[in-house]
Amino acid sequence: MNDDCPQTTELERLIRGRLSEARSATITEHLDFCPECQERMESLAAGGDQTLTKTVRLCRVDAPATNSAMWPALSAVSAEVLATGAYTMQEDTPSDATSKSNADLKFLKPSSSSNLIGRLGGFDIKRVVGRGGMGVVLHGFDPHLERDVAVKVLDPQLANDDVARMRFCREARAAAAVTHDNLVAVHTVHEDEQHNLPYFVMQLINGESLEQRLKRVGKLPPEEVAKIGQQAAAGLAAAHAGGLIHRDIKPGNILLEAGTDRVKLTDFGLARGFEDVRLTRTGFVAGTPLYMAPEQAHGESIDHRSDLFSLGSVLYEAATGRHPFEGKTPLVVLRRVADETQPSLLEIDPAFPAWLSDVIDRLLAKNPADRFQSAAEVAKIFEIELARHGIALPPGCGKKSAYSLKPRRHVCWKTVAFRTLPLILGIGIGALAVGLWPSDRTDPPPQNGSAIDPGPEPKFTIAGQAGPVWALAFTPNGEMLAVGAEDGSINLYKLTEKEPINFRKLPRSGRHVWNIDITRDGRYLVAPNDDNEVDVYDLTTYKVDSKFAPGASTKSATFSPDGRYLITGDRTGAIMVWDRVTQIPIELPGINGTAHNVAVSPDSKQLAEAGSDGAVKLWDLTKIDDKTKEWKPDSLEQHAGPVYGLAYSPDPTNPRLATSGWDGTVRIWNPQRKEQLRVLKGHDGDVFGVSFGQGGKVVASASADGTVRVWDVESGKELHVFRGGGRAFHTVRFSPDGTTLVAGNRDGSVRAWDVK
Amino acid sequence: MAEAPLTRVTLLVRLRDGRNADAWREFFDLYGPVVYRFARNRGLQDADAADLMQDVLRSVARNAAKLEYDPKRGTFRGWLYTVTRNKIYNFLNGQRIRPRASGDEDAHERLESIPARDEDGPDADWEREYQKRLMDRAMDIVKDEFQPATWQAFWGTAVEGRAASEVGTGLKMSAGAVYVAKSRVLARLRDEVKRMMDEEDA
Repeated sequence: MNDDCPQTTELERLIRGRLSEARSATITEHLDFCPECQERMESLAAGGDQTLTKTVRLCRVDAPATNSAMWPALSAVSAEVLATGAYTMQEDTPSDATSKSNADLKFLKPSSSSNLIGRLGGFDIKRVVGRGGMGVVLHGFDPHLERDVAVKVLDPQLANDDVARMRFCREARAAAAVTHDNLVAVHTVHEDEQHNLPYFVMQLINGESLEQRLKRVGKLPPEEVAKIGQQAAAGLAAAHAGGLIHRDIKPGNILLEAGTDRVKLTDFGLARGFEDVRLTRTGFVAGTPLYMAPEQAHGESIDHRSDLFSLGSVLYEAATGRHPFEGKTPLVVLRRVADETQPSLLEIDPAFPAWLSDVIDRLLAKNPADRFQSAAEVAKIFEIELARHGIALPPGCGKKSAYSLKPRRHVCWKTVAFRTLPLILGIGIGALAVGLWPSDRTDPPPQNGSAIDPGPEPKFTIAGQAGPVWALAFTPNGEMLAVGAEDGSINLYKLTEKEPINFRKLPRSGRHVWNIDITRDGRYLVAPNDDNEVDVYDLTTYKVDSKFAPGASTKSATFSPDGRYLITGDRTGAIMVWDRVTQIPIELPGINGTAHNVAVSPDSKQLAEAGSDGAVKLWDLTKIDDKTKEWKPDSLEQHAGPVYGLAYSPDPTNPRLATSGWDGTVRIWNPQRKEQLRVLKGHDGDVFGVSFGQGGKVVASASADGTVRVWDVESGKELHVFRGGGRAFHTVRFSPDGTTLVAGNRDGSVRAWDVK
Repeated sequence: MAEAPLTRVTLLVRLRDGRNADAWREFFDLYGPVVYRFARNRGLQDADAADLMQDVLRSVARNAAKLEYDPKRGTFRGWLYTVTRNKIYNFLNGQRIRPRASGDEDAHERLESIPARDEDGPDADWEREYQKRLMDRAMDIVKDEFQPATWQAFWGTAVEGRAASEVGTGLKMSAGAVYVAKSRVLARLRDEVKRMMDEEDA
């Protein structure tokens, strides 16, 4: 071995893919001509096992030939044994079965009664209910309170394992601290002193798990999926409010009460307090890979939004009967969870309710920031939709939820969350609900294809952005278009007579580019990208000119037209008005949720904010320097659910504000009188973006339904429908002259149409 | 990535739970070919070895509930070896009584002597067949974890025995890159085989 030869540890790390790219490349080059290292590496890979390579070489050669009599014989004997149940013949009498399953229940004290299998503490134990990862669940009876209970006992084999013991006790403490209708209630925690075994006593649920249900029936109809989703989300919201992440949401942990189908979440076996992160920092991945969130799969830090991903997986499986990321090994599953996008439920079955497909897709977003931001929000959306479709939840669910949201930084007035919709309780689910279920929204989904007018052809299409396009902005002279994509890239295009030319890429500084704004002089560009810092680029040098640091993940940003302020909105709901020269911010009382969008009126006198709380807030910017008064916004509350799109009309003589949101509507307001003028209905899905064109006469909207629509502002009439590819449009912008419309699509493209 | 260490349930335990059809499918898939290959090594013809395999598997199914896991009495695999060996002995013995055209060679001697070059004990080729079967399954399982080119580089060199440079030319990879690919797959296969053995033996 000469000096150039890599160390053994380096070869090891190369094999395991844990070496830097540069060093990997160097060693790989070295391997080209160093037979000694080639041999060393192979031997390392085989773990020094000389027979391994031989086994690899021969295993396929020596396998029974495809035409061997063995294969049909194997199928035959397998079918025969499984069909006749020959292997269960010895499964004997009930008493025998009981004694067998009781072999590991030595900690039970004998009982005099023949229908009990023993006693534990003060409880009579009737039978074994199930076995989980950490222990045995017993059906017990509390003779004092005269009620049936479930008793979960730590597996005696694990009693000496400190980690297992701690986890078990943590589960008990965690679960006991939170009570909610959709959580299995934990009554008490005990320790059996003789055997040194911890156990806890909880509510006994009469019913089956979702796992058992799915095994039995294959898959569930959409309304059942939605009901389970609503209740599971409500239970999670309560747990999250108590500072707990479940971490192991899966069908086996979702119990369905017999008769009512009320959902009860259980097995907080891996749940842990927000502070307590040590146990899993050992590189050991805890949890069921099939339902893990990508950040769990990567071993990155997780939060309550990881539970939302798991819930999405569960609901997806419940709706289709198959898991979105199936694979032969845990590693394959983890890779799929991390890298692959599941086909949406609507793609699998065009008749599936679009809203439910969309909710599940959003739960399954790879990036936690793209998911719903709280379980409470998810529960609420399910509740609204269920009510809309006249589907009843089990009594007691979805009324006043027992959770409360964690207090945020700035809650200066009572948060008006979603419109409260009347819940129809107590109606039988049967025919009525089924009859009402198919979406009451008017248009058939665009997937129905050929029957639908594909709409006008785009003037041009810019394809190939690295991920969905959420952000578009023209320079004021209309010569350039900036395009921001989900991977954090910002591309600048020169608009020519023919094709647009991609002439520049701005240095990437963050992740998801949510929106882009350019100053009126065309000199500066801002692009919030889910980072704690917002970069302002100088478009003469194409470099970062200044940085503003709101301190939380930024969702929206805009310049005031007079150029004086930069306004940012973030995921904690905080809104900052920055003096662009001094970079000193004034912090506005924020909302409880995400500030999805901010905009300033053409005269720079009013600031509008669209939030996940369902309200549009209006601030008088002229009073910003008046420190004598408490500064309060006006709140426009008509949207049901989060508001995403926000734009002022460029016409100062006829003040108009357009908003759009989750409820599928576009709304036109008079922002000075603070009154709603029109509700534009026609989209069949969330409306993510709006933009005014033709000097404020028309407004365009981009929607998850795969269409861009153009409306007459004063009459509310729908003038044009543009389509493309069937996937969601996230953003829309009119060129400064108001005649070219561009829209960013989920498929990574930008389409442009003439609007005359 | 570790599988949940707290819930590892051995194949034997799962087989003994009479209702676990999946465990039985897994058992048949794993051991059917092992029993068959072992019988072929001992001189049985294709059809005879297939029959014998059926016989062994049926016998295991019938006796499953009586199986006790006792490490002192040897492994499940060891027990299966004994069952298989006895069946082959009986088969060859029966042949001796009703000799076939191939002659009346002493069956018992044949059982113990083929293959003759066993220095590692009488069950060494049973163990080898088992290892090959595990590897065969491991390949099916891990293949999807790798890029196609990585897998082909491994396959060309490790299974087909071709030179790294030759395999690399077809895949537009350097010889060094082929070695890296081969080693990565090998290491992963080793892990997977070990996992399967742990699952069975633990």
